[in-house]
Amino acid sequence: MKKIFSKVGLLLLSATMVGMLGVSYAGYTDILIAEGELSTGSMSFEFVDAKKDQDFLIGLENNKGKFQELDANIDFDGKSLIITDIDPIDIAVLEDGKSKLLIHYSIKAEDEQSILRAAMIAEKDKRSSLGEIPFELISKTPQWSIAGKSKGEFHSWGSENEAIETVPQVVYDLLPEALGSFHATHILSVDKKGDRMQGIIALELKDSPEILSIEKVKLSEFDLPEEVLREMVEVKKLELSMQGCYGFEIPLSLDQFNAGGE
Amino acid sequence: MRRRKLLLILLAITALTFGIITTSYGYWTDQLGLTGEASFEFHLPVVNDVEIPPEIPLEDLQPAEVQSTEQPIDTSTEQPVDTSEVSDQPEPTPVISEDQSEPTPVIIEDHPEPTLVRNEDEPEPVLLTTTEDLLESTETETEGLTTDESAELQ
Repeated sequence: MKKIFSKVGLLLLSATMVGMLGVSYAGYTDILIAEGELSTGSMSFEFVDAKKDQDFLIGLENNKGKFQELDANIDFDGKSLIITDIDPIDIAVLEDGKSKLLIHYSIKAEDEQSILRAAMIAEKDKRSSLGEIPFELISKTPQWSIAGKSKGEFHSWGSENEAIETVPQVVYDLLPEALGSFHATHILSVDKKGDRMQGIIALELKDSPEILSIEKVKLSEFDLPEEVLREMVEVKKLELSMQGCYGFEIPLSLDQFNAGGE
Repeated sequence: MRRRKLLLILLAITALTFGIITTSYGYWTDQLGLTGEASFEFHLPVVNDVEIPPEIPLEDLQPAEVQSTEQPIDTSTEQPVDTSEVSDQPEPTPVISEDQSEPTPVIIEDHPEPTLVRNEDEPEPVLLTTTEDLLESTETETEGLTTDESAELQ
């Protein structure tokens, strides 16, 4: 018996027991390796396709909330939206805040790692004000015409007449270089699907341009050819129409710092 | 030396903090832009203040009418007319009354008084004989002259 419990015997026994413990542990466990990356999110939005989703709309809304859509060409390239060829807008419609120019747009996160939502902006939120947006004249040759009715027929003379070769100086003088101040407000909310955000920009004319205070213009100021003036003799109520193209730029800042209101 | 080191450390910490804040702000904000062009219309009433004379074809006009429609001659730009050339209008002749001792020139009202027509830039034409000259001449020479002779002097 002494031989069995000798020093060597004890060493072998303990080694066997450790081995058996290892085997039994392995029998009840398994090792799986999981690899992954964790990164902080960032805000990166882009405008989404208008043609597909009809998320872009431009129009006029009057005091009673009636919306009239305007035809326009909308192009977008990631973070910039370009609106051109909007139907001509009668400035008198926007005078004294009678109507507002509304631009509806839609944005979504650029990729899956981006933050899905920016802080929403409510109508009465302080952040909804985008300040004054300048509208500056960009077309060098304005469209103009003098029109009136005679014997039940409508007559018009202007840019399209061959007899009138140049735009009268008075038209250049009357057309304002910049429209009065437009105050812009911005509303941003999450759409029904929850995967994108919808924004509305409202442009309201606060200070009307000086031209709206002019009551009438004299025909003699146009220096029209005699043959055109002879044609105008029988027309009773003459009205001048001028059309100028004005450019604008609206920066949209989105953030997550004030996301508490969501 | 110590202060310099401290200042440098402070500056480095400030710059680092600013950089961290900017980076973190960039993560949580985004900017989009919207640009465009819009055409606006302006309407104004026009007052027809141009008066054009009616067009009359020349064929329809009678010779007399053609003459009447001719432009009147502007005499203001013409050269001064010499009074000697105005021969159609009889020059007013002073008529010496037989009753009066001193003859006085009388202008006949039926005849319009001849007037000098001249350009303002031109020097004033000198009259050859004035009424005063006439009077003087009549004072000195009346006694030996008849009325017809004094008229001839004019």
